[in-house]
Amino acid sequence: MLRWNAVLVSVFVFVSWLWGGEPLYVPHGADAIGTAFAVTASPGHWSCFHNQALMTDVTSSGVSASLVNRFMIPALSSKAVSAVIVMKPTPFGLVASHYGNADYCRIFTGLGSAVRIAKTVSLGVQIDYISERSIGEYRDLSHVTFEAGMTCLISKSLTLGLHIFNPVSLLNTIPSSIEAGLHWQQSDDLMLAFGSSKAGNEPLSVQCGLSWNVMDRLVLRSGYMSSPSAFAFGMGFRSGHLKSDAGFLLNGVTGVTSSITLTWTIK
Amino acid sequence: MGNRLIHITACTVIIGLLHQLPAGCQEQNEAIMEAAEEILALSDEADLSSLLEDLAGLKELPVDVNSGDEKEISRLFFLTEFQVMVLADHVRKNGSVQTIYEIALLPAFDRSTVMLMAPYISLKPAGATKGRSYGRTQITVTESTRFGAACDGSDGIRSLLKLKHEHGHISFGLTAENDPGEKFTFEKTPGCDFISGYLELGGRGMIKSVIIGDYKLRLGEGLAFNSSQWMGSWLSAPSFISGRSSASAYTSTEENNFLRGISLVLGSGNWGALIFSSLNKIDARLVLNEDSLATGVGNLIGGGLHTTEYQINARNSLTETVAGLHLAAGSERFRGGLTAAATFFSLPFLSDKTRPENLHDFEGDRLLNYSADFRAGTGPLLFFAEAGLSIPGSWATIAGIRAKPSGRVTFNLLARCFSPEYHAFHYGAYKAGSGAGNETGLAASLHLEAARHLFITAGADDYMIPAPRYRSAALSHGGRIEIKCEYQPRDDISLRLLYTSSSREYDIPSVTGMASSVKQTRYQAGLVLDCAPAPGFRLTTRISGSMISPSQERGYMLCQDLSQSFGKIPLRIWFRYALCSTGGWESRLYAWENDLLSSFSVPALYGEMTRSFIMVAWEPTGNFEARLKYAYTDTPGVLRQEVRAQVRILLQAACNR
Repeated sequence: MLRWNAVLVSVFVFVSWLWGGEPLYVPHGADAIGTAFAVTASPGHWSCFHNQALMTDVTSSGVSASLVNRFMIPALSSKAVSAVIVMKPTPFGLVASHYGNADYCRIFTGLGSAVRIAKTVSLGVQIDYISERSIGEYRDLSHVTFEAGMTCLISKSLTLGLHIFNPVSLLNTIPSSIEAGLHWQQSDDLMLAFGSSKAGNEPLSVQCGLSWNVMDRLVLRSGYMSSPSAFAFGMGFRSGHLKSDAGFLLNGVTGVTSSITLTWTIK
Repeated sequence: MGNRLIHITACTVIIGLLHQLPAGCQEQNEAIMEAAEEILALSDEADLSSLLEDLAGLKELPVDVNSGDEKEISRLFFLTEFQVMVLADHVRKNGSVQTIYEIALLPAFDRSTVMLMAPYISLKPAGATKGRSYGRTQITVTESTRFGAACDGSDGIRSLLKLKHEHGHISFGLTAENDPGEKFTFEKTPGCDFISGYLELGGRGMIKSVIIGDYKLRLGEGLAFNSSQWMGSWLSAPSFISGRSSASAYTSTEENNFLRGISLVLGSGNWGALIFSSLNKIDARLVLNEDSLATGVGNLIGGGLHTTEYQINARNSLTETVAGLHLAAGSERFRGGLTAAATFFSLPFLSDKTRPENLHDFEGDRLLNYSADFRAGTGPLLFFAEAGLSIPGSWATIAGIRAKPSGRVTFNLLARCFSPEYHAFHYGAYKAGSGAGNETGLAASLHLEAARHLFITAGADDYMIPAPRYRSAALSHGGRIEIKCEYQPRDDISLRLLYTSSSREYDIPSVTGMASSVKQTRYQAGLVLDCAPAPGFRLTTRISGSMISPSQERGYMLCQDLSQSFGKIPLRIWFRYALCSTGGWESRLYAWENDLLSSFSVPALYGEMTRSFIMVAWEPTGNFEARLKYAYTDTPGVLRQEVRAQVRILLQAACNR
């Protein structure tokens, strides 16, 4: 077991140090924000767009809408809608987000799918179309790229996740990023997640998150990310097919980033 | 060099020849030692003497857990009211605790708390001592001297006498100390430089205890009063909750932060009241007028050293009078308290407002403190909060959660907001910076049993300092991350990995204009291997490294500890050899040393340095112990040596009926 742990830690650390870049996609999902984005290996509706391989763990189709209010500044807010459709032989995921204001906006759309290639290993991929629009003399830009993810079930309660965004940054000038994460279902009610991400020349960011089902319908979340240094808090409430989540990121310099998400699960 | 060879050879020969018994290289709790080293490395102003002496006192006289007595268990000052209550209740209902692991299974306890307790508790069966007791008296006499090229005036003899007697509901104690270089005089201030004493009477009815003399207070989360300040800014502490509210006798040698007068604890069932008053003379820097008459006080002075003219003039120059009241009430799941206190000074505080860092300093000669605190919840989730108000001044608040969602995970969260104008002179709440106010921050920690024998603790603290402070003329930020992994496959072997990064903004010195700031970060990593290859023989190997950014100053330290107990001869030996090489003071590294009883030693190692010590303890009977320590620090061109000796006599009399 110790040997396995050593191998996992080595992989985790090695992958974290690979070259990455500034991500263009504003991450969504209040549940992900509540655990400081340590969701590369954690199941969930919005996690499927942080690591497409996680779509294989989704058992019911669902649609979701999310709003992220960065630093409580409306001009920096981002809106997104997504859907995960469970089909045979492979599930599909659709995501579209809008970031910006009247002077500059960025629309991100993606279509992804995933497949289970072994009992414990899944792979996922997503094709992204990114459109940037500006006023004045700045020209509009469009990019097509892809992202891919992998999950590996190490033990009954431990999952390793890897994700890479735009590995062809030399071809399209869009920066890339890379993430690695561990998800530990410590008990029925408690989930712990650890992750690391590297984007561009930014320092390596290490994240950890905790999600606790304090009651059948209520989930409390907390987390911490090292770069930029921020504490995360969140909560989720489920009522029938409807699930609502709220998440907050607290940074000492930039202030509070808040997010809310509504998810409807179609049985 | 010759000395080193002699020590090494002597130790090796003795170890090889004699029988051995279990022993530990470090007598104190590893977690606290490491925390103390980190806190000292982060701040030049940190003063942990009171805390470390309290722990040394607990080590000498461990808490009898199986007595089932809440008062006895609450001597473990880091336990909360709920933890004390649960443990006492467990002993009363289920009988004696057999192992410390049994305590870890109780509600509100976890492994990290139990490991913190372990060195300071005794699990001897209840009622082991029968018969009529005539009490217990402990006398400790310590003499130590340093010689060499001291540039800080620390050469000279330090004398310390500690006396404590307990008999039933009555106890009294005396502490007398002369720091190195301080004179024992019969003139203006006769006797020792510092004398402290108390008489404590325990009651049975409405009056729970009375302390006459020197005492310390811990109320709520410490916004107004907490002389113990046990957790300070210890990020990986088992909990951010302050210990149980109490008044206790003062036995430390710290010469300023205590109260001198009377305290009275009243209580019955779920309510209680604490009434206290104090009149104490403390050290302060006097502000003199043209006629050399004292018109005010510039600032308080800590340390208690009185050898230079400046220090002698500051000695006991300010009289602090405190009177206050603390009311507490609640039930098993909720407990609240209210505190009100008034402080009067014999001279007004006059601060130099031309300096930005003094803009919000306390001014005047009287201060009122009010605070309200509460704790709620049991077992898996505990909330705590305290809000304080100072007049003159402003407010401060602190609140947090301790959650134990599963048996293997404990999560702590603490938010704090101290306005720059908040003032308190005996505060002791969790705080990264010095002073009572001027900080807003959020801290969290996670204690996790990741696998069998593998324990991980991680903590993060982000804070903002809204008003100017020393070396920062504007709003600034700071942060800290700590990660600790401990792998303990067997009782006799453990491996610990430690990583800390701490950052804070400072001004870049500039001749004119507004200074821009730079974020200075200190990274520190370490590895500790602790093993007992043979009974009675223990080795501790430590490797530590530090780096300062952006200056890129670096340092490392290699340290080897060895301890040995002998079966037939009541002798115990500790030996250390440490090598250090750092680029300067900023990248200094601290290494906790075993020391005499009721003492502590955490020397800072910096530059090119070697330090070594050998300490011998001789305990022919349970009532007598003598210790002798020789240490030297070798820096290029300077050899500083230190010899310390101590005798402890324990008088305990009982007769069987």
